[in-house]
Amino acid sequence: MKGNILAGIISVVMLIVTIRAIRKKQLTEMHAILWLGVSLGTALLSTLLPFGAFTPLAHFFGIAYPPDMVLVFGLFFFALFTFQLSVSMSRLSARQKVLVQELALVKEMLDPESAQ
Amino acid sequence: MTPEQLADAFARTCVVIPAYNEGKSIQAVIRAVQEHMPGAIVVVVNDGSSDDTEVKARAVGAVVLSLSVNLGIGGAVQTGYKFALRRGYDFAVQIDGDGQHDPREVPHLFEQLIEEESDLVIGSRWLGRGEYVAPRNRRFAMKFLQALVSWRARGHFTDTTSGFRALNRRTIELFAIHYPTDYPEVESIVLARKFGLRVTEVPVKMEAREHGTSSIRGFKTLYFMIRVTVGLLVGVMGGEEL
Repeated sequence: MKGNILAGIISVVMLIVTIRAIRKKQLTEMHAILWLGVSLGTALLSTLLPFGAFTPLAHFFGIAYPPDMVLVFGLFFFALFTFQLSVSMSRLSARQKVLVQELALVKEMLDPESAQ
Repeated sequence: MTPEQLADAFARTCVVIPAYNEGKSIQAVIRAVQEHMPGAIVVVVNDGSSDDTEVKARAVGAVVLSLSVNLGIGGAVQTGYKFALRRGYDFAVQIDGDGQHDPREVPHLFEQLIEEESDLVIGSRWLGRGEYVAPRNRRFAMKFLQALVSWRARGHFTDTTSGFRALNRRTIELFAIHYPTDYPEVESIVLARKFGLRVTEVPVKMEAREHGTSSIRGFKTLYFMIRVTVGLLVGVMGGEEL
């Protein structure tokens, strides 16, 4: 029982942190929705888990201890999420490269000092 | 090639010199290019240097494209090719900013580029001229890359990491759009071949570096090998068949 009290506290803290970040406009909509989903999902899980809501599903996957299933899904989610971050970081650096190059070319056009 | 033909070609050539903290050697490199390639425009791409590379390059009459942040050699060289493309140059030459490439060798590159109609000509240290000796620990890497690139690019390439090259308009157009970011020399050979361009090597003499050290050393060598191998085998441009 103590485990899901902890999970409950964590989900409430996450929810508060997410809402604060959205208010300060530190998160884009997509990420805001994602993290809201994560905090609500954690809250839901910590409420439902003690009532054995996931026991049949866990047993279907051959997992004897239902909280472990939540852990596995959680790990999978974070692996997916970090991969997505990696992809968007690569895209950002590709875009940044183009911008820095364009800036250098434009600076050269504007600056008579460098004209031959 | 007659001297007149060469002079005509130089007048349509953009010399791209990527430079990162090369303040000590950049002026000598630019002067050598101006002396041996009269009529060519010299473009120094200052890759976010923290020294006086930019000021020194301007002082001797080079056009300087200054990158606000360090992009690495690939992004820097590509900036030079974008410049060459937009200003309508027919040829481009890439020369390192550290003085290890001798502009007196450029006519050999141009002979191959213009008379033999190559699209990309690479100056190779390993085809017999000059006495360049590679440090022992790098020889294995070089052999490995020779084999890998020769296989992927369907040809025989000896000096895959050489940054001493001449290219025509077709290759400038390609590289202005597609150019690898990390360690671009190796991958760009395969890239050019993939787009159906003719890539050849000519022997050149290379000097030992005047200042500074190679950007690839120590543990970086291992990362370099892995990165290039992955790039050539499964990279966007490297994975498919030619």
